[in-house]
Amino acid sequence: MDFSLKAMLPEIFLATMTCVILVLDLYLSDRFRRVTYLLSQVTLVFAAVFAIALWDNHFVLMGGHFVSDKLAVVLKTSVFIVGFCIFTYVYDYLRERDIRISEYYILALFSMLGMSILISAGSLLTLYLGLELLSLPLYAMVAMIQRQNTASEAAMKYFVMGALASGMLLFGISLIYGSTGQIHLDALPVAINMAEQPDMLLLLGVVFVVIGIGFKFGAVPFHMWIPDVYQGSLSPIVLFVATAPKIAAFGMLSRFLWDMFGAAPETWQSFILIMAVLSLLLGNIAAIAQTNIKRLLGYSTIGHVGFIFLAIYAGNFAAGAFYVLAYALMTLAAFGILVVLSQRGIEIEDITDLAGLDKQHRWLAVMMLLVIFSLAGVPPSIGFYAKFVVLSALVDAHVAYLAVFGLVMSAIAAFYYLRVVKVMYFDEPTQTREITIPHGTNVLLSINTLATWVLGILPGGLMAICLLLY
Amino acid sequence: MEIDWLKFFFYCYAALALFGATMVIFSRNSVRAVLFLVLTFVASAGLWMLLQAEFLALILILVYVGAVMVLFLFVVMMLNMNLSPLKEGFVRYLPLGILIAATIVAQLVWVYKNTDMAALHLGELAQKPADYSNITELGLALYTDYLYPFEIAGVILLVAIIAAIALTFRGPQNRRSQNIAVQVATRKDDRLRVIKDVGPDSDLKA
Amino acid sequence: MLSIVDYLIFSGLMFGIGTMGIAINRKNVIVLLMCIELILLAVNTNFVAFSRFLDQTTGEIFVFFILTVAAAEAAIGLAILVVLYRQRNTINVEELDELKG
Repeated sequence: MDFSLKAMLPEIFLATMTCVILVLDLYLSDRFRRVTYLLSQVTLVFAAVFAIALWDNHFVLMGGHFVSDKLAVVLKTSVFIVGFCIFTYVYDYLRERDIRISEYYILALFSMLGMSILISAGSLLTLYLGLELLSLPLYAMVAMIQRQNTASEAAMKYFVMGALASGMLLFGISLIYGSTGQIHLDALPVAINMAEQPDMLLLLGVVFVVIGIGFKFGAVPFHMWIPDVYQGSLSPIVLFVATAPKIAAFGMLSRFLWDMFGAAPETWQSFILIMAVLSLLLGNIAAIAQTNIKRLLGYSTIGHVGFIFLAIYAGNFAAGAFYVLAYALMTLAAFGILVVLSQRGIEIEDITDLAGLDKQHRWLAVMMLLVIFSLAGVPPSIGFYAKFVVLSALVDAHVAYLAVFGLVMSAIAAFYYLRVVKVMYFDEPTQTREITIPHGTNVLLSINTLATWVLGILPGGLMAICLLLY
Repeated sequence: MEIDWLKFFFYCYAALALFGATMVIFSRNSVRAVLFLVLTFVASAGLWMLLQAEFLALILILVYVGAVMVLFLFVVMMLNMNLSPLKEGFVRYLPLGILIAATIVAQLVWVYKNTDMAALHLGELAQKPADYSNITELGLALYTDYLYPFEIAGVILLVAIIAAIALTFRGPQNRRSQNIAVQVATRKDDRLRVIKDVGPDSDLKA
Repeated sequence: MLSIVDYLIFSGLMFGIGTMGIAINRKNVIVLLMCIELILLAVNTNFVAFSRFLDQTTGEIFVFFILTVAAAEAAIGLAILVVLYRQRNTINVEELDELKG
C-alpha cells in the first residue's frame, strides 16, 4: 500500500483544522468570535493551495478508496474558493442578527470536507460516505437557524427527500455490487466489459443510482425539495446549499458515469435525457409565476440542472463541468448580493423588496443587473458561453432538436429574469433605506460579479482546464 | 418427506419481518409503530443469521434495536404524540402508494427472475469451515483495506453529535446565573415607563 | 437450500413497503423516518445476501458503514423533528404547508 499521504493533504488539513476550530471556539468569548471566522478562512485558503499543488499528479491511495486526479483538483479548489467567498459574504449578516456564527462555519467546513471526499471517491463506499458527510451538516444548517418559522419545515422536507435519495442510491449500489462483485470504481468497467452484455441486475442498479443522483441535484421529477428549501431557510444557508454542493454533486455524477459507464452510455442516457427535458420545462415555466426571489432562483436552479444534464446526455462532460462552475459563480454572486442587501432588520424575500434598488445603492444594482443578465444568458457573459458550449455539444452529438429546445427554454428564462431587473430599476422603492457594505465584502463581491463577465468574454482558459479533465 | 429447515425458518422470519414492516406504516399509534419496527429488525437479524452473517445480525440487534429504536421511542414519548388520530386522508393516498410500491416490486421481481444468478456466481451459498470466524474476517478487512472509510465514518458520527446538539440545545434553562453585561447595559427606558398624571375626569383612570 | 432470489424478493418487498409508507403517510413525520429505516434495512439485506453468496466480505463491510451512517442520520432526523415540534406544536405532514408555490 502506498502511504504518500501528501495527496490527501487537503482533506487531512481540513479535518484537523475543523476540529481545532471546534474546540477553540468553545473557549472564545463573543467578543473574539471573529477568530473563528478568520481561522475558517485561513483553513480554506491553505486547503485550496494544497489541492492545487497536486495538479500534475495522479494518486490512487488507501486501497483504491481515494483518487486524486485533475478532476478532483479542479472541483476541490472550486469548492474551497466558493466556500471562502460564502464565508466572507455571510459574516456580517450572521453577526448583525446575533446568529450562532461558529456553528454555521463549523458545519459548513464539515460539509466541505464531505464534498472533498466525494469528489475524490475511488469506490462506491467512499462515494456514499462522502455524500452523507456532505448532506448531514446541510440538514442541520437549514434547521438550525430558527428565526423564520419555515426553517424547520424546510429542513424536514430536505431531510426526508435526501434520506430517500440515499436509500435509492444505496439500493442501486447494492445491485451493482451483486452483479459485479466489485465496489471500486476503476474495477467496475473491467467487470462490466467481461460480460457479453450488461445484465438486467446491473442495469437496474444503474437506474437506481442515477435516480439517487437526480434527487441530490434536484432534477425533475425529484425536485420537490429545492423551492421549499430555498424559500424556507435564511439567505446565508441558501447561499451555501445552492453553490458548493452542486459542484460536488457534479463530481459524483461524472465519477460514476464517466469512469464506469463511459463504455456503455446507452444504459443511462435515456434517464438523464428525461430528467434534463423535464427540469428545463418545469424549472423555467414554474419560475415565471414566482413572487419570492429565493423561490424564483430555486426554480431557475432546476432549469440550470437541466442544462448540466443535457451536457451529460451529449456525452460532453467538459461542457458539463464548465456549466456547473459557471452556475456556481453566478449563483454565488446572486445570493451573495441578497445576503448583503439583507441588513438592518430587512430580509430580502420578495422580488418587490428589490424595488428601487438603483436609487438606494447604485453599484449593488449594477452588480445585480450583471449577475441576472449572466444567469439569463445574455452575451457575452459566462452564462451565455456555458449555454453555448452545451448547445453546440448537442449539435455535435446530432441531437439538434434538443439544442433548439434548450434555446427556447432560455428565452423563457430571460423573461422572468428581466422582470427582476425591471423591478430594480423602474419601480419606486417602498421605503428609504441606507445600505452599507463592508469594504472587504464589497471588493470580493465585485470581483465575483465581474468574473461572471470577464470569464464570458475570455472563456478560453477555464474551458481549456475543463477539457483537460476528461 | 424431509423438511428443509433452513427454508422453513427463512419463510417464518421473512413473513414476520414483512408483517412488522406493514404494521409500521399502517398503525395509528406511534409507539406501536416503533415496536413493530423493532419486530422487523429482530426478524431481519434472524434472516441474516441464517446466512451466517453473525456479527452483523448481532450488531443489528444491539445497535439498531438497542440504541436507535430507543432513541425513536424516546422522542415519541418526549413529544407526547402517541395519541394523535392519524388516520384520515389515508385512503386518498393509498392507491398512489400501492401503485408506486407495486411498480417497484414488480420491476425488481421481473429482473430477479430473468437474471441468471449462477452466471454471476450467485448460485449457491458457499459452505464455511467449522472454525470460520465472521468477526475475525470482518475485523481484518475493516482495519486494513477499509481504514479510510472507517475514519470517514468517525467524522460522520462527530458531525451527527455536533448537529444534534446545535439543533436542540437552547442554552442553560434553569441556571440562576447573572449576566453582568446585560445588567450594566440596562438603560432607564427599559425598566421605567413614565405614565402621565391624568386628571380625575379622564376615562383612562378606569 | 436458501436461494439468493428469495432474499432479493424479500428485500424488494421491504423496499416497496418503505416507499409506499413515504407516499401514503400524510399525518405523522416520525413514521416517515421509520420508513427510511425500512428502506435502509432492505438495502442492508441485499448487501448481506450478495456478500454471502459471492463469498466475499465487501458487502458485509458496506452494511457496517450503512448501519453507522443510518444511526447518525436518525439522530439528526429526530433532532430536526424535535425542533419542528417545538416551533409548530405539530408533526402532521399536511400542516407543513407554509411553503408552496
